[in-house]
Amino acid sequence: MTADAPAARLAEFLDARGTTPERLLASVETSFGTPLLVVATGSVLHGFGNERSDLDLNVVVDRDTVKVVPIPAFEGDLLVDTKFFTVSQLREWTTELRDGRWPPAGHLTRDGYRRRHLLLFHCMRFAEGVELSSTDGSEPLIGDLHEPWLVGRVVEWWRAEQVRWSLAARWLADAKPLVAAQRWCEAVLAALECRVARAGESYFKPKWISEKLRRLGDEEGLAMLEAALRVPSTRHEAPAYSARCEELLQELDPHRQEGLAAQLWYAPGVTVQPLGTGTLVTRRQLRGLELEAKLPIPDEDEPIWEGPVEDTPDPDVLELFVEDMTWLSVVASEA
Amino acid sequence: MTAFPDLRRHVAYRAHGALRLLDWVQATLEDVEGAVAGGQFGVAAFQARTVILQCLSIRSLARAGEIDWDGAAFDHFAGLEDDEVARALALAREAVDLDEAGADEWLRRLREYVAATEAGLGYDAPLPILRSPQGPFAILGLARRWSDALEELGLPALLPPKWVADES
Repeated sequence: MTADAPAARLAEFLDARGTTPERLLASVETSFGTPLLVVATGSVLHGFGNERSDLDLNVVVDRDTVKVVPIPAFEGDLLVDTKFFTVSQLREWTTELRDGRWPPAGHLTRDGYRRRHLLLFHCMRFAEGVELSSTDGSEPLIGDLHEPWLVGRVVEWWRAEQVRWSLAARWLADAKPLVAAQRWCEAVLAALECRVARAGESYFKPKWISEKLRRLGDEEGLAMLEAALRVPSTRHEAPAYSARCEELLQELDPHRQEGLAAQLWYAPGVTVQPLGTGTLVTRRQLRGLELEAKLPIPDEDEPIWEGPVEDTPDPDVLELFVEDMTWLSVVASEA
Repeated sequence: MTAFPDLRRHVAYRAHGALRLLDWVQATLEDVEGAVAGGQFGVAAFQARTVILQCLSIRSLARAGEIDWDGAAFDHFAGLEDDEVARALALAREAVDLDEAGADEWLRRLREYVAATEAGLGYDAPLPILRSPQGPFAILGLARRWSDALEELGLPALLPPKWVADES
């Protein structure tokens, strides 16, 4: 893909809808601050879009705070989602991504996962978008995002995700084989994302995986994708499907688990109460679980279990995981 | 009048089920429709699985499902009958073999499945389309409608996390 290709696709897309980059720019809301940089992003720029595609505008404004809330607007039939960012936000995110490998060592909570995903999503969109307008001095804002390390972070993300999903699948297999099969599917999809990102297709939107593989001419990857999407519909079919997915993962990345550990944290909304010699665990008081063992009281600074990814938690902790009372993180092993 | 034995479950299903449909299912179904129209059958298959899992998770909210759906052990099928799950997953799997000849008929059945999921939520009128000029107001209206009940029951509010999260 040449550097001009996204701009050409954008122009063609807008022209077909009777609008122009200038009209898009004129539609940008200025009450959130003076725009310093406006970047058009979205699937269309990558050549993946279709007639239902929308367009996103990332706008960096000259103010101290702003929420990343999409502001939808319509240019005729074209939906334009505009998101606003601050200069300090973009600088902080860039530094955090550039200097922080994934997964990190130490404690990693659900909030840490969500933040990393959000940063990768937005920063990749800035990096791969088309600048519609900029002011003097705004170039350093996203210049660093064009360096190869950012794609490296995308590869790291998907590589860790394949381990997280496959670990979940393994732990769910006996009690909930059909749910486990879906996790195996996710693991293969993550492994394929890792594969295409390494090959140059790093657009951070999994739904386009087939188009990325197709553009790379990766017939083997397409066959793996097709196998993964043939999800089982009954418990009876699940074990064979799961075994096939595990084989695919082994082909895609046989060393994926090296140097990684797992952590389990209580999930949001979980309450833990001692009950005689056991424990009563509930989640939002919609569901509950009575265990014979004593379990730790929730502590936002300490996971309830941690171990190498090859290990399996104790039965009571595993039961908590299987019943969706925990958050699973994959972290780098401490040396 | 609707009688129900479990108020928390009822409110979670009606309120968060509607949010999940507005905020996720509608857009994913649009992706499938766009992909079918554009002959991108791989994209259609990918997003068909997502639509079906999202719909199953909404139906599951009425029985034993969970409100937060990002956990590694999240069970889209919790409390659902095996047959119901099997039929839905079979529809998703059919998408892997889509071609020009059968795509429209398959898409009709997918739309029916989504519509039946929405009907199950029990609203008087079809839910508004989020990705429309009126969409953001519709979701605010839904949030306002359920806010008191959710607060009283200690259940999460309805506005999508991405709308209220402090992402600085």
